[in-house]
Amino acid sequence: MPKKLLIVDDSPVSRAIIKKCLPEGHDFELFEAEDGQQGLEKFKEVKPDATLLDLTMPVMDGFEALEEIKKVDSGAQVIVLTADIQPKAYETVMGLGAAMVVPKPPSSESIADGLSKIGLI
Amino acid sequence: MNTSQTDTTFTKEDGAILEEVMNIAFGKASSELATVVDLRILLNAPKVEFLQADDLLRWIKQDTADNDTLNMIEQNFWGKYTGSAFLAFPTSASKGLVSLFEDDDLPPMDEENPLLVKENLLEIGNILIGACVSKVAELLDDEVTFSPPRLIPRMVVDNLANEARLDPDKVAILIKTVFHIQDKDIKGFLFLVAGEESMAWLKTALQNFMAKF
Amino acid sequence: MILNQILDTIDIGLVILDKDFKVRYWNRWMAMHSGIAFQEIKGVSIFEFYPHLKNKKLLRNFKAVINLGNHYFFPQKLYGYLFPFRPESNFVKDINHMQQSCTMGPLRDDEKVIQYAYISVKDVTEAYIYETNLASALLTLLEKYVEKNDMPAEEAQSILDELLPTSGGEVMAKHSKPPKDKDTHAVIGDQLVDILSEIASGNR
Repeated sequence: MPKKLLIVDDSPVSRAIIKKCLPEGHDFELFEAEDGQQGLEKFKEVKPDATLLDLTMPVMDGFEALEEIKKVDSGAQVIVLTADIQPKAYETVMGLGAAMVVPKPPSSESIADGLSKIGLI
Repeated sequence: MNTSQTDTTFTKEDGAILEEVMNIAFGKASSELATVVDLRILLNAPKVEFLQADDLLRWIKQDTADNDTLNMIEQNFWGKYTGSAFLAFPTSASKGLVSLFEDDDLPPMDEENPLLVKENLLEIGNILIGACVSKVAELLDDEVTFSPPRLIPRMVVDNLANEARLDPDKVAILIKTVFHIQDKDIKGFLFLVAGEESMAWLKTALQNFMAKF
Repeated sequence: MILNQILDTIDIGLVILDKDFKVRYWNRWMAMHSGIAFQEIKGVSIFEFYPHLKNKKLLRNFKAVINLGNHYFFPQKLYGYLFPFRPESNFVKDINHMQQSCTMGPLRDDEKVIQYAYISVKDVTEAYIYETNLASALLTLLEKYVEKNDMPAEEAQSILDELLPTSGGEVMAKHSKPPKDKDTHAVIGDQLVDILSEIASGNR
């Protein structure tokens, strides 16, 4: 049965890059959202096995989306992707319950590492 | 068919890739700036436009209409990606920017000293512009060199078009972001303007960037 | 080999530092003006020879060069000089040190990783003398205008504000206010502001 993966990022290019970096040989069912609000709604709807979440987004940013997702499901596996990894931001997202932070731009290795750490592959 | 024209025509997709490259570059710059200046500098998601020089000046003015006067720091950079960077901030923010390095052990001058004011503005401009442009270049496998920054004091926004010496016939790639220095309540704009000469290289560099994934 | 010849014969100082501030290269121009041979300074921290360089501004901008790939410019107007060398000309009486305009930038290895920072040193003493002479002449002229009421003091001040923050000790010397420290051009601004305010208030 394919694993459900939700990608939340306002940039279509960024979503395309993430999809290209997904490890081969695994069956994923992909869902996409363009901002935090849409991501939250999609999360409630599809209950993904993992969420790949950008931080800087319009309407609802990644911090708030993460907080809301965790309210819906405290066990949700969320991997945060960001280029701006400052200690304060890192502590905040980890405090909000992110599984890990992957630096942007991602690579096949960093995405595989993230998915493996949460036991999805 | 003019092939060189085809080469430099930017599609919507090119623009989207450039926006993402800038987004990543400015994120990295923001993160690394914190290690250098001990400040949290937030750079908003950049917007990319392709405009003629005339429209560019109108666009800057439109975005800065709330401020009567602006201070601007201009710095040129050159590599395969060549252009000018402008850091614009309200004149009223100058004092806050000057105080960013007030704990320095040199030189022993007071805050009102015009030399110190100018130098500190140039230093913060140099650091911000350098960080952003260098990260863009790094992502696109380029290396850039900079000319010294110049302060354009109290430039009146209404006079921007008269003051700037840009070729009105040339198309410019304009990238704009808002920078915000946290805890200091200082906001300003950063514009990167690259001319037509960078277009062909940039188009290829963007394709190469996507090919990495 | 040709590159080495160029680096050793150009009329500009060139220093290469590693991330620990140790000198990796010191061209002949630097050796000649400092009196320190490359072999003597090679592998030694630059701060051992020039401890005044260990200040927050330089350290911050060195970090910006190494971490971010930035360039940093040491303007003569603020620093006067980075390396305390004697002026080249034997006929420069009032200046103890060569005035310099310096640039610091990154150097990358084959993998494009920044490993070193270079500092280039340009002698701008002559331009500095010319500029201060011009500034001095301007100051004298404006003072005369103000004294004769041909020009409002405020207007004179705005001209000076625009042009004079860049000038140095010679202006002060010619107007009988000796600089506090001839070697530290950083203090010039203070003295200049004093003079400007005196002119503006019509006391001179």
